[in-house]
Amino acid sequence: MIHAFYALFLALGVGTAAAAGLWVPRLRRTGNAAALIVFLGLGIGLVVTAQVYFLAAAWFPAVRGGVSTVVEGALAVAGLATAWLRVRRNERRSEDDQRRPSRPFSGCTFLLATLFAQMALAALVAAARRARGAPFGDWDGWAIWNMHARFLWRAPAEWMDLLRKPGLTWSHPDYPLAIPAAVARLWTWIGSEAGWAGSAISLLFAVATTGVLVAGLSRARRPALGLIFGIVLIGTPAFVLAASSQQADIPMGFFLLACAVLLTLAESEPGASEGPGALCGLCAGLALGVKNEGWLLALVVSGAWLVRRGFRQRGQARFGMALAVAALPTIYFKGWISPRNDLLASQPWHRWEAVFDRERFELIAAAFGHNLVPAAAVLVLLVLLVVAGRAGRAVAGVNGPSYREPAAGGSGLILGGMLGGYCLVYLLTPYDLNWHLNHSLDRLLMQLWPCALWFTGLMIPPAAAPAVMPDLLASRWKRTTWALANGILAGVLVLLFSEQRAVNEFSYAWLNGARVSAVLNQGWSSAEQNSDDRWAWTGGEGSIDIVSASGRPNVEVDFALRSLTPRQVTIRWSRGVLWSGPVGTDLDYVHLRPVPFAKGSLHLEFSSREPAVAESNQADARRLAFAIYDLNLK
Amino acid sequence: MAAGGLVAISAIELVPLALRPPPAITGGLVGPASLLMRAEQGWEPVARQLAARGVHGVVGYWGPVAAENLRGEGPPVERFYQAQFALAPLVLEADGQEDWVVTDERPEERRNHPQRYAVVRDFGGGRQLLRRATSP
Repeated sequence: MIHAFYALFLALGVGTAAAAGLWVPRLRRTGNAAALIVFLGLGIGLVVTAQVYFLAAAWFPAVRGGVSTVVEGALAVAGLATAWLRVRRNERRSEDDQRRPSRPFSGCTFLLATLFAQMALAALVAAARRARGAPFGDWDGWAIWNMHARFLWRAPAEWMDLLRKPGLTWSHPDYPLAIPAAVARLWTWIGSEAGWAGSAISLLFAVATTGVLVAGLSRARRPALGLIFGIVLIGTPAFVLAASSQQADIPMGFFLLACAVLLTLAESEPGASEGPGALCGLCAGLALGVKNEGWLLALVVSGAWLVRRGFRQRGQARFGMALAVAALPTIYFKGWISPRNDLLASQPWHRWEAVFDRERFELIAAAFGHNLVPAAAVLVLLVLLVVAGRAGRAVAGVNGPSYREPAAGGSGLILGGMLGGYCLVYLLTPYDLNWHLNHSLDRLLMQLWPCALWFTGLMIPPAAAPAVMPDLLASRWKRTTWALANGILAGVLVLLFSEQRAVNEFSYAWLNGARVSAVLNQGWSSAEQNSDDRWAWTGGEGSIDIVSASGRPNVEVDFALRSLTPRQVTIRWSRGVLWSGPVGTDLDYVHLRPVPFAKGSLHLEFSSREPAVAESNQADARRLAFAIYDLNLK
Repeated sequence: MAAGGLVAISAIELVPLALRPPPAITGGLVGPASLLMRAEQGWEPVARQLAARGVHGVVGYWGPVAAENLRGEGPPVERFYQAQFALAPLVLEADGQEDWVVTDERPEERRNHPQRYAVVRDFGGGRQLLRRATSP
């Protein structure tokens, strides 16, 4: 476990050093610069170290762990040295700090920070719980990213040949390897295939995305505005769900947001734009290693840079160089290792007429509209609330004498370009359009969601701040009180969470200080309950797992069974039949004898040979066999 | 300091909470994730046996669904992908006739397959390791 911490800390160090080595914001008094660099560094570091590991696995498979660690260490040292020189140079120009007014911790910010902290805790708990239930994630998580990681980790000498086998075509072996390499790198450090590695990486990307959004908007506008949009992001169930199911759309969304933030800040930060430009190029280049959509992002961001910054800006060269260097590992992968991409192999240019196919266009527009309208409504409502409310003046930006308020134009170009690119891919797809839209559009839009929030935040016009804004956390005891109040709130929240059943947790009991749970496994519908009973139906076969974190010598199980028609029900466990008996239309009570429970998990299979019957006369009625009621553990 | 205090308090309480059982699984019915963990356990002895015999590269897979129908959906189809995940870095060739073949067919699901394979080991539940007895 401690080795995993070292590996993640090294990734954070490499990324932060690389980010700070390229750009140290000169306005330090706003306090958000460090946070922005650290959160950018977290996402950058995870992919940079993954790419180093990927190259080491390709060129030095026998010693890939050692080689990648040495290179990562060297990168961290070089980045830190450059960052130190940059900080020293900035200190000599510290007069710039005076040009931007300080932004005190106002009452509004105080309340929002408290809400944000509690919501972040809730989101983390929800994501961690779900990740624990499905350590390898959902389909994309296990069938693509974690499986490719297994090839890297389990077959160091032949993974490149194996990924090219036709039998694996369905797993998209042309997808870039940064995410699988990040997982395999963590396994290498740990020394075993820890199931939680992919979850940890995915959740860290979600944390980094939230951090960049909050810190970016805090810097571009005000901390309160950053917190509002941060709350919206972590309050988006699909975002938390995607993070815990290890979809690579979360890291992709991180790089999309990072590029938009850096392009915007390059236009508004005092001094030259080389730093943000190089960092933006680095992010666009690293995105290529995350998903194939990274190529579209690099193209769109490059275009946005040209439009917003022009050809003659010095930042443009740094942007291009950083992009090219960061893209090298992916170019190597695409050119020498990966099989051809299925979409490109289908030669979409031969289907160019599809771009003018009105029927396809309408289908795509309807699907985009269906997914985008609710999100757009949330964003419009947010803008109206912030602008129209009295709070607007307190949370929007402050105009300093020499400070240019960041404009939303660049981010708008990136968002529009990505949407247009996705639309074009759908128009030219060789697959059934409905199938392709149904299986990918929601995830693609999730990539855009953090950037859309950033864009909306920038759209809120800055307003003059009150001349005197009280700093509610000015003294140490006030800050301590605030922390304690938040701690108490967190405690209450945690208490509420611990009493809440997980989705498939049918019943639980505290036995000898350990929580023992009965979890509905395969074959059951969702648990239902009224004030007296809690039950779940099955169509004929269902299994229940009795689990506990700590082993117990045995456990007794009491419950009732009820059937829609009389039938025989059998309960089996690993050693054969545990119980069998008739079940009627009234509750029949069952007591299972104490069952050995040494390994902390007991698998019970319920079955009935008689066919299921419809629960009502309606056409869509469920076909049910029997239900389990009020399971008690003791 | 305030933020640091909050992070410390939250972390102390978050860790045991996140580690407590049971696993949370989305949806009314259990999704493929928990089935994946069960498939992992089921294929573990097969993977060990293959590794002990030095088998690597491509291995045939005979399951309840024909290779051309594996683009579909449903539990029998998912079993192929779960087997591939569990047995990686072996590459499974659906309906393949490689020297080594793993089967994933219960008796009632059995389809017609070539006869020239001998059972090396039966792991139960329809999982068998076969080896080609004669040259094709």
